[in-house]
Amino acid sequence: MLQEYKCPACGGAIGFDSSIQKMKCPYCDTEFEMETLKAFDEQLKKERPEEMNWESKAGGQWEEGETEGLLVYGCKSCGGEILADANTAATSCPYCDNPVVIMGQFKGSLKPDYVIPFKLNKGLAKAFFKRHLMGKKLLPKVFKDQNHIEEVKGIYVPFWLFDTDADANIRYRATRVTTWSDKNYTYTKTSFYSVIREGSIGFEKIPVDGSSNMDDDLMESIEPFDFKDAVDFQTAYLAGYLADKYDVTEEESVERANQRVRQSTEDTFRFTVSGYSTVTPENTSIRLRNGRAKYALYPVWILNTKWKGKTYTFAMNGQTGKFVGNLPLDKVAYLKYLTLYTAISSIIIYTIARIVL
Amino acid sequence: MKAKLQLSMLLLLIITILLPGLGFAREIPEERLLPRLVDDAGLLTRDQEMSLVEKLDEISERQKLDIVVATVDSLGQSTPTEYADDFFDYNGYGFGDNADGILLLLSMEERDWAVSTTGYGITVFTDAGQEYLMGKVLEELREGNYYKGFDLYADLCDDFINQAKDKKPYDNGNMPKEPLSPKWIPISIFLGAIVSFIITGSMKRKLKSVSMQRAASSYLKDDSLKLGASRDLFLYTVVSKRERPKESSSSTGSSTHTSSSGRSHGGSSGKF
Repeated sequence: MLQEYKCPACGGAIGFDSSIQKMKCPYCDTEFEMETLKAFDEQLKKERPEEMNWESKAGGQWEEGETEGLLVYGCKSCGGEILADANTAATSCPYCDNPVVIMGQFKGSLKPDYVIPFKLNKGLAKAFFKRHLMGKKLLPKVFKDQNHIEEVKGIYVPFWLFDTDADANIRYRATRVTTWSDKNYTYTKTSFYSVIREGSIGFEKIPVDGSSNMDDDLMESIEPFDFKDAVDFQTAYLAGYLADKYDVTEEESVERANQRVRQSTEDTFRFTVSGYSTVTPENTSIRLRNGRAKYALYPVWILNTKWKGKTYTFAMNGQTGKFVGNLPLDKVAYLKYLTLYTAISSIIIYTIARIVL
Repeated sequence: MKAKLQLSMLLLLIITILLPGLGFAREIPEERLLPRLVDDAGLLTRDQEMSLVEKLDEISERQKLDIVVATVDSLGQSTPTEYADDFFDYNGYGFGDNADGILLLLSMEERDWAVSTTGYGITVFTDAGQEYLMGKVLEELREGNYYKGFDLYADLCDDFINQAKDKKPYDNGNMPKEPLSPKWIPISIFLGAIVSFIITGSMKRKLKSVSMQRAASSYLKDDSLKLGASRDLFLYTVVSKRERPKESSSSTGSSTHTSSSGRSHGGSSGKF
């Protein structure tokens, strides 16, 4: 089942415009409030049964196993075939470029509770990529000059959002050191303390990547997302972007959230112990309660480029613009700088030694 | 009458020669009577003597401060310092009204050495400065390298005078720089490499921007931290003591004494 949003004014296929945070028709420039579309969306759902069985598995023509996870849809506007991965929930038609939402993909799995709509557009993603390459002396010059991004995709990535409260009971061994001296001796007094901290702390909306297509470290690197911009989920937001549905369950994701909660709790309580020279945790007990999970789609721009046979993937937070992605190292330049700086600092150190000694 | 006059002349001569030993007050001559190198102990060859005199003369004239070396076989009844002071005074050494100069005396009988400074020489060669200077020179003298020792003495004196004229005399807290030992070359390169690795390491890190989050501090609920019981229990105390390094007394400046001529001298002495 394929869903296009048709412009009520001219009939053209319309998509979500991140700059005005509304739906906008690219043909007649008419803008629509999301609320209008929500009503429109519901209307469309009622009209749906007319065309059933859009899904057509092209059995026989595909090798065994290749069909798995691959689905073919017919575009409503031009009739062209759209191939999509089993988890793709929104995409564009490769022939007429009309944004489509694959409704069938949401069947059988949970409906997202929230969505943070894209705030930053494709042009910005490309501009931020250029900025990402600047000021990096060890980046191969060729990589920067060629600078060809093979594809830029705006993807709604499924995240599990965890809320939890943590009860902590931590015992630290702390020391306080004072020194003083008389004519002949320097005295060092070390006092040992047992410091106990008990209390609770709350966390909300800790995101954990629910898509196995996205690397977890890449998704955590573009954090944080600000939940203030989140709105109730509507499929209309997806038009014009790609969207995945979760394939990592809530149960599988909760452990990662817990790890981070524990670390944060330890850090926060450690800050409450002050006035000591050294503080070492001796016994840490953290219990989590009131755990709740929500399902949300967060906006992410993914950029891919190939260089020397290796794929480099970059990600940009579609809400905040935080841009991440590992870059290749210019080994020759690295050795050059290493030698140069060794020479310079050796000379400086030798000169200082000559002056001081 | 003539014979009487001759006798009295002879007597005067004898008195003049004997007086230093006897401790009688003597006149300080107007002019310098002896060359700036007097090698009565015969430690140097003729060639060495000539080149050293040339050097001492050149530096002394240029700096307007007499640099003198004297060697004797015996000090007689005097202490090394007294002998050096008197040798300087009664032989008319010293530039200008204050008789600026320095004299190094070696006496071979008891292997004594003494330095006597006068006038501006007292300012130039502080106690600590003399200790440093003689430390260097004695290294050579103890080995029997007298020419090398005296030559070094002349060079160091030149350096000391330059330093005193340009800036501040060498003194405690302001001693001449030793040439850095060659082991500092590999040490500098090693430390330089560490610094370089730190700098290039931070350049390298700029290329990596993908990593897992450590914690979840961005998602802390505002004001949700509630501290229940918090106790800070004192357990016990350990006191340790460490002996303080003794502070070395570091006096500065030059100490002076008055010689038989009534003149003020700085100086130092010892055995070699």
